[in-house]
Amino acid sequence: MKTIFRFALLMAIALAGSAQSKVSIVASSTDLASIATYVGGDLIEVQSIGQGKSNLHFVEVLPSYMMKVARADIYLKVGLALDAWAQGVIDGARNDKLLVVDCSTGIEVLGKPTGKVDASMGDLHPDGNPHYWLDPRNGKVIANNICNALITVDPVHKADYQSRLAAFETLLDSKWNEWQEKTAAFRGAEVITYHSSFAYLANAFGFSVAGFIEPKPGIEPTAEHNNELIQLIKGKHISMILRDPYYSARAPESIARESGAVVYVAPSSVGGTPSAKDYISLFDSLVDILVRGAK
Amino acid sequence: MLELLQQPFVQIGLAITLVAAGIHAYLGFHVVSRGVIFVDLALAQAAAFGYVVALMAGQGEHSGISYVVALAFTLAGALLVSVSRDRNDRIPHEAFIGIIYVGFAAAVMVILAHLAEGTEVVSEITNGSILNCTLGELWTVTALYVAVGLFHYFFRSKFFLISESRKSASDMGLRIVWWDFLFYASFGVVVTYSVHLVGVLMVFSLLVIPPVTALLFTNRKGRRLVAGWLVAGAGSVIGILVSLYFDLPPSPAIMLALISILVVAGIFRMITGIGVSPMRETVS
Repeated sequence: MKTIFRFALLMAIALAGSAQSKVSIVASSTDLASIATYVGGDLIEVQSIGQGKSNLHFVEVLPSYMMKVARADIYLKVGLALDAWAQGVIDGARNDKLLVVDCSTGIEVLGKPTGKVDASMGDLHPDGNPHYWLDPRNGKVIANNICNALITVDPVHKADYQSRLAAFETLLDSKWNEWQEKTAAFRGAEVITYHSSFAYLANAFGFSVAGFIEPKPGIEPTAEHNNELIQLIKGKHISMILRDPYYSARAPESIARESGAVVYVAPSSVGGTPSAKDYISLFDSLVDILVRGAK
Repeated sequence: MLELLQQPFVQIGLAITLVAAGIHAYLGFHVVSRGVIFVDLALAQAAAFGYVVALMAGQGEHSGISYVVALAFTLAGALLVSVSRDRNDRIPHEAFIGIIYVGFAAAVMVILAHLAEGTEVVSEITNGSILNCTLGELWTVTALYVAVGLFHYFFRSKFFLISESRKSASDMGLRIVWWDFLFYASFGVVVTYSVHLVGVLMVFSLLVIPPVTALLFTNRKGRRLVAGWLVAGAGSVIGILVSLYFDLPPSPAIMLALISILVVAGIFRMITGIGVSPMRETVS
């Protein structure tokens, strides 16, 4: 009797599995989820744990995240120690069939610390700057990583995934030219950012980050630091301060008031501002900000 | 350092700290006498809950409505604090204050779990920085704290009587719960605003360290108040100067300066024997 029951249960699980035809993906961030949608189209179902306005460094893990991952086929991690909390979600889900993809594989990482990393640096990123999705060229690398994972999990639709990947790459190439043209006037400019979130964006569009509002993340800045920043902005005639939507407005506004620069709320992820609806419009929004800053 | 002292943001920071030191060292006198040391944390948490509720309802962090909602929850917290005191003092009031704190903190976490900008909002509410204050904020807090200070000045006999001896206050037929509510409500208004500007640890330090230092030397009300103000003012100025000179974050420098004054005062008292003897302290 027991064996029959077990057999029936197994059959039910197998049937349930085959009925679910779409590949189920859970991503740490909305950016990875958006790129997955470009590659997977309607063959996949994708959910993101991080929201556009959440600080991906610190996400509170809820039991429902583990439930989502328990039923998923693929988990997309940002990696480079940014979403360290994701490991807790993955472990808690106890899903043996889950394919965990570190989307930073193959990325040329910026800001790798050369000396030794210690606690005096605040919560610095020991593996290098993890905000790599903010260079559209890295979007291709991420898309390739996701495509490979989809082919592993769902080899039947290999050709579909590959053609969608190619279309996404073509779209990125044409948008790349458009974005570069629009931001041409901004090349060589210097900006102040709150955190090191925009290093890759600066690299992609040829501007540079002259200083940070928060010198060591999580530690109150000193008067000397604020003063240096104000003098730097005045001396170099820097006009733009970029703030991620989730950081406090108080410190950037205070620096802006004293120095005459303008604070722009720049989405660092899809969904960070209303206009950043997907990976492409994320850059449309960022490019708009750079264009406004160049005037 | 002189160059830094000429910067407006440093001057505003120093002024805000001194204004905050004034009202907090006074309120701290009551808080320490009543033995409700952590009431500021509980009321700040009630205000944070109000902000989060407003945020969930789609109100921006700095909108007028969200401030009103935060104030309403602060008053609700004040009401809870004032009614939760056990008449016979069989259960320490701090126990209830801790429970009120945990209750609001847990409620905040429950709501924030489903708001994307969650953790950042709470840090925005509770981690002020004195260097980021505006001139407008300086005038607002000065007006607000002077108003609260006047309110306390007019009713000083009642507030001090309850703080120093609840028993004689109730013997005189004072409606203690009502006066307690007024006290905690005005206290909550101050704390909610100053936590946002200077941070929760600074508020606690300015509130508790000066009155405790003063208590080492005197039990007399007037002297305690003056000594508390001197300690709070000296700690703020020394802390800020040290932070400018050694390039340190100002808030922790002020806290450490206050604690240093307390330690030096304690050693001074041990060596010289000047101060309140334990015998006399219990007699009062």
